[in-house]
Amino acid sequence: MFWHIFKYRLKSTVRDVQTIFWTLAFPIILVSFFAMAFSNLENASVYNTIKIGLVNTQAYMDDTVFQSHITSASADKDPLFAVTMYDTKEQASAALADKQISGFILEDAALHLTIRSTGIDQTIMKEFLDWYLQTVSSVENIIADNPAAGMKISGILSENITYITDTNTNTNKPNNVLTYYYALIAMTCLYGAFMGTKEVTAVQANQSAQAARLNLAPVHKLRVFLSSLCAVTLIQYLSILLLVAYMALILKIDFGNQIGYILLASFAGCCAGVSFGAVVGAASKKGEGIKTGIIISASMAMSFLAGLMSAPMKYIATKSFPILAYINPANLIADAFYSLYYYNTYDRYFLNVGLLFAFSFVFYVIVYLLMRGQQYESI
Amino acid sequence: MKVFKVYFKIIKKNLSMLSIYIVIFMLFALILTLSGTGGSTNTFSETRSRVMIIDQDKSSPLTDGLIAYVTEKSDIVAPAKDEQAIQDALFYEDAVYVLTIPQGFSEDFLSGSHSLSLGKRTAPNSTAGVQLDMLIEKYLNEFNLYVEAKGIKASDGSALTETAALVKADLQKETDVVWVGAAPTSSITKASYFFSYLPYSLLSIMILAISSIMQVFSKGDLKKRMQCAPTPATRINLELLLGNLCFAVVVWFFMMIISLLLTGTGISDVRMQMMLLNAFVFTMTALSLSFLLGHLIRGPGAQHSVANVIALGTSFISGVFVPQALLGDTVKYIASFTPTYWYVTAVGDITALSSFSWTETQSIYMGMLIQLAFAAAFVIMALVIGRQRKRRTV
Repeated sequence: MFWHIFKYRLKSTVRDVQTIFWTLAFPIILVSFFAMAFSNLENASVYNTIKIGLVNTQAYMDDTVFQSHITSASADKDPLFAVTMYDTKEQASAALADKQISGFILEDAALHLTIRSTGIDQTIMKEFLDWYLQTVSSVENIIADNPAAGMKISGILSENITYITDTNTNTNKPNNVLTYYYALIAMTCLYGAFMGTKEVTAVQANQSAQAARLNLAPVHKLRVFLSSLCAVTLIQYLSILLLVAYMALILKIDFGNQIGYILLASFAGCCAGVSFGAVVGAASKKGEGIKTGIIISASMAMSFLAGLMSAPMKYIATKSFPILAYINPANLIADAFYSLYYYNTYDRYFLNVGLLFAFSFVFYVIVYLLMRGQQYESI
Repeated sequence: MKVFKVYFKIIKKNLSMLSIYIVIFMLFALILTLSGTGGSTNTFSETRSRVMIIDQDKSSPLTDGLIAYVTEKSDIVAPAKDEQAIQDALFYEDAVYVLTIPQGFSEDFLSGSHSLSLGKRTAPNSTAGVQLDMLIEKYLNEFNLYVEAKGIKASDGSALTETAALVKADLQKETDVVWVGAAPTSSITKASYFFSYLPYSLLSIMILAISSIMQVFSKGDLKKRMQCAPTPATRINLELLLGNLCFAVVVWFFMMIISLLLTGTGISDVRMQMMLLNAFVFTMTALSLSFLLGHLIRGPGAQHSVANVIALGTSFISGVFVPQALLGDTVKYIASFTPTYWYVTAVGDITALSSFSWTETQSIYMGMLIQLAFAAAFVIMALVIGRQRKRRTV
């Protein structure tokens, strides 16, 4: 009996092209978008050359030191700046307004950086000029103290000393971008809720005609329900694994390399997702529109707090409401993957996975209590 | 106007579902704005990050000066006791940067061998890491310049103290920044956060709501009955579109009220007016896209997936969540085929506006026109599909 229903629920779900397409293809499309958006973030050191303007003032023409600095910053093969010279401040302002340049430098008694918006380019320009001013100040101090020492300065400045080394003892460095990917897996797991709801609808006689027929059969309803749940959990699990495989093998996203733990975390996520849907399905007697609305809003809200749209949100949420880290299933799923990647130990991972299973269990107990002994006198 | 009336009956019936969508997605935009994370604008001033310093070296003018400099530029957290605590601190962003000064660092540094280096560990937020790296390297470079140029010995305590004071004074020097026009006010910056995040929420709401409503009209018998009526398909479609238009205007109005309350900007602010106009144009584009999708999406449950792929996907590549400046050129090129890209670009331009002359605002209006062109294309496609569907035999 169990396998009979299992088989047919499996078949019916697999043949539901719509469901399969969306549980499988949709996360893969979405993760591809993610990969596109982040493709440049991973190697953020590759800066674009900044278009900068320079007003050709008398002070600038006399300042050979600054000239040589500007030249060296714009001379390499892949230079920091692309410099355009302007004869007057007005011309430079016009070019700035026209967005031909991100900002311009005007030197009179001091250096002035003119900008019209904030951004990475502007920050780099300011950092560069600050650094120049500070070095000049040091050099002046040194020469004032001992003019002969001035000879050594350019040699010292061109030394390339490593002052800082990365000492992350873990195998993997913290990585903000991964938070987005892991939150996406969490969201996909939670989308299993649609299947969970569907299965509940399929056994409640007041919700679908098929269920009404099923209720006539002399079989314990929970038994039917159990086997259909197993069927959808299996399908959901397989689609999550495909997603993870796509991410790991094609997009080369780092999951660490403990394959067994990854499989377990994915399974825990699936169970939590499907059981969450079952609760929504059992608790709400309203139409499908409302159920879908609840599931999509709740799963998006949970994924949002787990960092799907903005990775720092995960930390803000956890810091503002520490309890959220333990009761938000999306955060638990994302966190399980992240701690697997990040920590050397498994304490955190097992806490997350354990809580996910505990949630699934609690959800199913609620479903059981809600559905137990339901009788339909008339539908 | 029968179809138009029915449209509102459907809205009334589905009001609870629609309000769930509106509230939840508006909430996302609200929280993101209030927390001010990520987004398409970057603060120009250096942000203060939380730094943990583990000093294993004995006190010297070099390390004391370095610590004082880092302390001045960032917020210091107490050093953690053990390895696990450090990992946790990084994990939860209690500290975004852990700096370890190894034993004997000063001595090694002053001897000129530079064989010992400072240890660092950074938390996920890597921009803070880059900033602090620069900060520390700058300090040490300056210090090294003095030490080597003057030939200061490690034993010369008073010379080192003097050097630390000089380095400190040097590092106070800053470039004078001149803003063209006024520097962006905090309220317009806040508004730019809100409006940058808006495409995601707006697209989600519009696609979810409109395709749910439109599906009612394309369901089996109802559709067949409508096809028997002597009303042309184009008229039915246009009436539907009109209904959708009313819905869109209500959503836009709702969002306008929130933005004004949230940012505390008056409606008289010209930048704010342009933001609202831009948002209105985008709402229209989202509406026509949803109208088209309403024709294309079949089967219940599909609309939420479509809504997510389109809303999240385009938001990510167009610079809603990741700043446009950080996106690669190829990605931006692809994104320029979505209206979201032009909307986000316009938001950035409006924030940076210094005057309201035609040369300055031209590109913004151009962006809005492109969005409208997208809208027109979507509507035409939808009308064509609507006609074709009707011609099909029942």
